[in-house]
Amino acid sequence: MVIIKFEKVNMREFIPHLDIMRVFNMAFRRAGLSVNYSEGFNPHALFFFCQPLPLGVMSKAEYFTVSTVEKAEEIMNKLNKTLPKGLKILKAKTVESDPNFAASCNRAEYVAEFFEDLPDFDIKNTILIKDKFLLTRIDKNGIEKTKDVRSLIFKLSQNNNKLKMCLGYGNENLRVDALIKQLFINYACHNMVKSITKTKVYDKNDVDFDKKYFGV
Amino acid sequence: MSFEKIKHHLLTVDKPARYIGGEFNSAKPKKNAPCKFLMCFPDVYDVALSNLGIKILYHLLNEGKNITCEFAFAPWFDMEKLMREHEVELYSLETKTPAKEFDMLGFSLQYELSYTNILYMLDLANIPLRASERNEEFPLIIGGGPCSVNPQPIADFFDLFVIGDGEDVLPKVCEEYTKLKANGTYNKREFLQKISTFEGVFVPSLNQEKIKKAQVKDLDKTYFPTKMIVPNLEVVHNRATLEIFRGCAKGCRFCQAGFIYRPMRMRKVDTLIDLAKRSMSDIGYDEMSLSSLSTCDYPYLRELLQKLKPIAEEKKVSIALPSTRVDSFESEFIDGARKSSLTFAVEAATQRLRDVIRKNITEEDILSSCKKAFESGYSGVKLYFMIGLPTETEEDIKEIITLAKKIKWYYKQYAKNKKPLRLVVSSSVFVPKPFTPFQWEKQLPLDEVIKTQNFLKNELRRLGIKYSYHDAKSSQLEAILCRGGRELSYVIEDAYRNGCCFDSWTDKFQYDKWVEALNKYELGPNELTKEQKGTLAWHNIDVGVPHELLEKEREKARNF
Repeated sequence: MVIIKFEKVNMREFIPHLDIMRVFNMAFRRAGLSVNYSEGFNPHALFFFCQPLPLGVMSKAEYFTVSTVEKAEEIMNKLNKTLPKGLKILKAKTVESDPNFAASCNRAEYVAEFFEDLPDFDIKNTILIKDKFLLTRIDKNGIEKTKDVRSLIFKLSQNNNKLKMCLGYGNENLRVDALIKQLFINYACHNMVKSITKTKVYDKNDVDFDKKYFGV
Repeated sequence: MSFEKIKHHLLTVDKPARYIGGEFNSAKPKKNAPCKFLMCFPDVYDVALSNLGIKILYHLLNEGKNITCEFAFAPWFDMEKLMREHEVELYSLETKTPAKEFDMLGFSLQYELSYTNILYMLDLANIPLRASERNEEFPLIIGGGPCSVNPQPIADFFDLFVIGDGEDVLPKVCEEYTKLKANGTYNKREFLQKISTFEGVFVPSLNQEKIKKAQVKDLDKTYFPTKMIVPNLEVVHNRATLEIFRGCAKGCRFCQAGFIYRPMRMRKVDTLIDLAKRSMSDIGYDEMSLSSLSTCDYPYLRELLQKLKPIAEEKKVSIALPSTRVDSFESEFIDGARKSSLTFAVEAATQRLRDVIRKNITEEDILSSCKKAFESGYSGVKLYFMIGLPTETEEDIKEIITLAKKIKWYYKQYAKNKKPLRLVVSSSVFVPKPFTPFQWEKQLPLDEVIKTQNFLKNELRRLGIKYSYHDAKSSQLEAILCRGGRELSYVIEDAYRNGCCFDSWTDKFQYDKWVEALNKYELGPNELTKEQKGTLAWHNIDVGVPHELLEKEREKARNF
């Protein structure tokens, strides 16, 4: 087993999650690195990813586990030559067993940048002191659904044209794009998003995945 | 850069990955190349990047030191809207350069129903549609691919066509252009005059007596890319493709590909093994397709598979054999493969009609293949038929039902699988195509096609057999466009101006608007799909199949 941290930038944020898994599978094959396959009728390469990144969101902190006999160092060197520009392995480490990232991830940090400075949301005295934050979305059947997501907002701050957020990630997930959309509705703000980047992932005790799994 | 204007709105369109470029193995653009070529495919990204031809030419052109080649495809309607709103012109995927800034735009003509999309792409590029309206400032518009064997309906939109295999002649055209540009003597008219002497080049603005198709003589030595571009998204055919031969060993009388790609030219086993190895490590797909018009007719298939198997297994790549014909179907292939569904392109249900179209299969072939397949676990069968074939009678249609019943009975007798049989009958509509012995034949009128489809629908439903059929109206338009003359350019332009686009997409096809456009020029669908007499629109094109041979084949067909 090898755990891997990679980044997804340079327009690759528009590649959907399923295609990203395909890209890695192909990159491993191009690199001549073997991957273990599942047994059964429809064998598939054993990659274990976390919660998919929403389309259009860049990331400096994506994690997955791959079942392989290859060495971590080898993977890091070879794979970066066979991945398309914008996908890059940042860290790789050999581990005994699958750490199950999907289950241990709890929150993620994001930075959103806008074209112009944001109006003052007065976050500290409004959103953060309240015990409710309602998020309305339209589900796939076209029905409007409202959910309280306050408990999934761990941190929220603004600075000129930037929003910094730490949001529930994993089983209890809050989509960063959905939160921004709701904020903009609430404050009648029409500023345009320049970029959204996921920067860090933490477990439920607020320990950075880098520290927890890679030791740095 | 104009693309920057819409970059931040990409999330408002479906599948934005279609429009961002950066595909693995895409060519590195040469900024200062004197000949900038834009390879265009008049359909969406997912369809375009499933086509092998444009990928071969794209990589081939990029091998040339004076040529740089990029891709552009037809954006879907949501992207079109976004582009028009922000005044962004059609751009290349690799460098996001506006199409207008290229020296040449090469359009792949794979199906007639994509003709309005050519106009759509030119329009989005702000390039005048008609060659006569374009001065030297605009790129040269080039057409190629199977539909170019009768280029007349779209000839007015193009500066030149490359008819036949593009591998030898297209780089020659680019080199000639580079040469003239370099010594400052380029002049569009003279350039076109010069290249009209090249094999396969047709220049609509000139009076060429005869145009002989271009043909690569030795396919084994012909360029084939192994570092092939990998689409950003799951596309229609998402696998590595190896072209094992060009042309077809059979001569089915309705099949245009069988005639226009003659003669059959093969790659050697060792060449293919080498290409396969390199493709596997340079592309990385988990599936590799051995492609041709009838793969099982490759005489060294057994040897090729034997050598390929261990290589593929090691790389965990599965081998796919498309276009497997009933008569060459061997049970040994069934054993290894996943046991799901068999596909038979039967085309006609009676032996008489199969003799008419020269489809060399018998009912016994079909049934014995089914028996073998059922015994080894298959539970699905797909049967393809064509309706409206020349000399077709009611009997021929009724026999479709009989054959389906027999297959059901065989399944009861021989099936190893406990699942119920999944039998699907599909029908397309016969389209008389240029350069086939049936090029003069009438197409079955619309109402009769619909009557036949309804008959099959009712009868097959009663037997619990799924029936799917190709739309009669779009098949009619296909027949009109593939045999049409120059006058059709006005019809195509009118249809486009009235909103026809993506005609090959069933839910976008607007038949009424096409009829309206035809009627405006006093042309009627029924008139244009009648039996053809006199000079054919493609009489000055020579694809290497003599007129007399086609006439003789037509006579033979009529004697059954």
